[in-house]
Amino acid sequence: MVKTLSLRSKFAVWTSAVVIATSMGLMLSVYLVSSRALRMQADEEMDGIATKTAEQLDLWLSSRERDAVNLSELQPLVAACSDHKLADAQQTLDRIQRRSPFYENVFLADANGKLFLDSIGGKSVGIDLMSTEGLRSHVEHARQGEVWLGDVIKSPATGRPVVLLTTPVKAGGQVVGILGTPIELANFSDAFVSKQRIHGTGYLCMLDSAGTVIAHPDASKILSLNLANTDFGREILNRGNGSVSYELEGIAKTAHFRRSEIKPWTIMAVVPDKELFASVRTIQLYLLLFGALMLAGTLVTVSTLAGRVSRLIQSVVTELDTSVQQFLASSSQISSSSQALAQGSSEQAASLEETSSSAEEITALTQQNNDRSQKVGDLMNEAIPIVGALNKSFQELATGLNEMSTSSEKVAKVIKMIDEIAFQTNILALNAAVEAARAGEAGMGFAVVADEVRNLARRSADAARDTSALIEESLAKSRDGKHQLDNVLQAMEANNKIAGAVKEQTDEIRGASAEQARGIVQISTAIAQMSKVTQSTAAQAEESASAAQELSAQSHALQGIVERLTTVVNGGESGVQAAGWSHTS
Amino acid sequence: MEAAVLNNRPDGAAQTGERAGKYLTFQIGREEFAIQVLRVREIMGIQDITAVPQTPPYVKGVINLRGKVVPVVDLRLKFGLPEMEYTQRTCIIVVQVHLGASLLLMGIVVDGVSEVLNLAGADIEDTPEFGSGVVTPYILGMAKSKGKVNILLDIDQVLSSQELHGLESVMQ
Repeated sequence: MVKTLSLRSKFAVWTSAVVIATSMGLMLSVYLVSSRALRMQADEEMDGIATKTAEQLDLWLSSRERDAVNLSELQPLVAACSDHKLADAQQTLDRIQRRSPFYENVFLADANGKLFLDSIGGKSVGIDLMSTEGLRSHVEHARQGEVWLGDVIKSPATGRPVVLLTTPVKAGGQVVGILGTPIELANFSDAFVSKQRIHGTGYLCMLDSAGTVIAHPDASKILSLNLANTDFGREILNRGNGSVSYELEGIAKTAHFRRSEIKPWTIMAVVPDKELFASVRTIQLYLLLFGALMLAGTLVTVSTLAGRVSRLIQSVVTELDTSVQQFLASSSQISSSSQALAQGSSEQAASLEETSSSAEEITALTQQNNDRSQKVGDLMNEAIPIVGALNKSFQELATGLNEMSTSSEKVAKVIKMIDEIAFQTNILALNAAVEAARAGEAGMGFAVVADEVRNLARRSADAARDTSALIEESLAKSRDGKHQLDNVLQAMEANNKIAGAVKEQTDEIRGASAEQARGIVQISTAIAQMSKVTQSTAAQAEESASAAQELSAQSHALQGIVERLTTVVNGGESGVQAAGWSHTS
Repeated sequence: MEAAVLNNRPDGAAQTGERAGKYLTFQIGREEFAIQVLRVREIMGIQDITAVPQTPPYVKGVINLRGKVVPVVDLRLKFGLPEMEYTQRTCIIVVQVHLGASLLLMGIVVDGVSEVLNLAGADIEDTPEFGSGVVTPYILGMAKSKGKVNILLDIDQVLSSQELHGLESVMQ
């Protein structure tokens, strides 16, 4: 089994490689660029210094030439050359000498080059320029009327490098003499060359046209060292301007050189390579150091990070696995419960259908009920007027009975009166009988009459009594009848009440039936809605069941991904290291 | 009808023969009484009786008989019967009572008058003895008529002379 690198290692290796490569490249480029820049900068600097110094030299020399020209026109000097008036000229020369410390000497020579006056006490008087090596040209030039600056020579008087500047003294346009001012180069070099330091140990030096060192911070080299012997020296002399790297006395140096205008001398700015590139070296060192540090740091960090990340991923993976397991379980649960829901919804829908049909039946029954109660109401409505008519008849009957009663009572009263009359008549008859008895014989006829009257009265009374009895009977019957009638009326009343109650009830029944019908309609509507909802629930349950299944499938896929992730993280040891994982679905 | 022998004797002694004659019968309670017709002055229906205070209870009061003030006595009370409400049959019989030599008109309240009977002597029986100590002077006798027993009253004896006097004083 090939063990592929673990994520951590891979991570570390690759990152490190990349980092190293980039950093190396960076460092290298930085190094190169910086060294080149430094180099360029150094070159420029040195070049600048050389140039500046060359220009300064030119300026200085031209100043000296100007000075000399000015001096050459001094009257005493002219007079000395043309008329040989030496006293003033001597003073003048001395004055000049005093004022110009860089003049080694100030002399006058005749037109043939023979010195006749100087400022150093006559030590140089008598020297013939024509016969001195290298000075001949001065005379020639002077005769031409030209100022001439000679080459650097070792002064015979001081041994220091001097440059002879000759200026023709003119009188009336004719060259009558030569003013000679040997200039101590040290004056210039001390000011501008010797003291100059470049980058620490870098320095300036000057070469004449032959390659002899005419200015140098190391005084021992002046006029002793000749670089024309060296390759680089030759190159310098040939090229005139530029830079060159060379080795002298075991030290690698780089020199930038420039040739001055007035005299073809070369100014060299020399810096030891070591020093020149000290900063570059420093950079190099720092870069190396930094690079090393960075490398180490990168390695460590990357390793640690990778480790952490790897562990993190692993823990996440483990969690993910757990979640996936739960997910699987949940999704299977969802699936089963969705199916159950779908089932339940279907059942519910079926029962709703049943309920709906029951509701319809109820509606029909309610309608029937309603109709029946409607009929009852109608019948009641029909009955009521009848009963009313009946009632009225009975009322009339009652009234009739009452009237009959009243009549009977009136008759009874009359009978009573008759009875009373009979009674009174009786009493009258008795009175008559008494009177008749008292009258004796005479009253016998009267007694008969009285008797008859009494009989009549008796008969009246009897008749009245009989009638009264009949009346009583009739009254009693009538009362009975009235009682019966009252009973009947009461019964009628009760009946009426009942009928009224029945009507009320039927009305209420109708109202209730209507309500019931409405309620049933509402129920039906609700059932229809419920049915719809149930159907949609069932559909949705189906959908969620299928979604749950899909979820389950996805969970499996996820599980596969998790396994792969583990493989990646742990480097190929799939399954074994993944403790706690199971391949159950 | 037999001729009645009128007797106007002041004393009230009754004899069989003399007891025959016409009697007015009336009822009090369930009993039939009779008094001699000759003693009856008038019969009238019941009418308002003006009560007189401080009179014996059986003295109901007085009535106005065509300008004459006549005392009225309730025989029921006199006979010790419970008082009864007057009905329309209740009558007042105005009788003549002998008081000494004078005649006193007196009304008696009866429950009802029946008729005038002509009683023969044979119909009249003497008052039976009820035992010693029981005296019934005011009963003339008993008469049978149509199956009923009429008690013949001696109106003069119904009220004692003392009572009559008292009555008379009331009148005055």
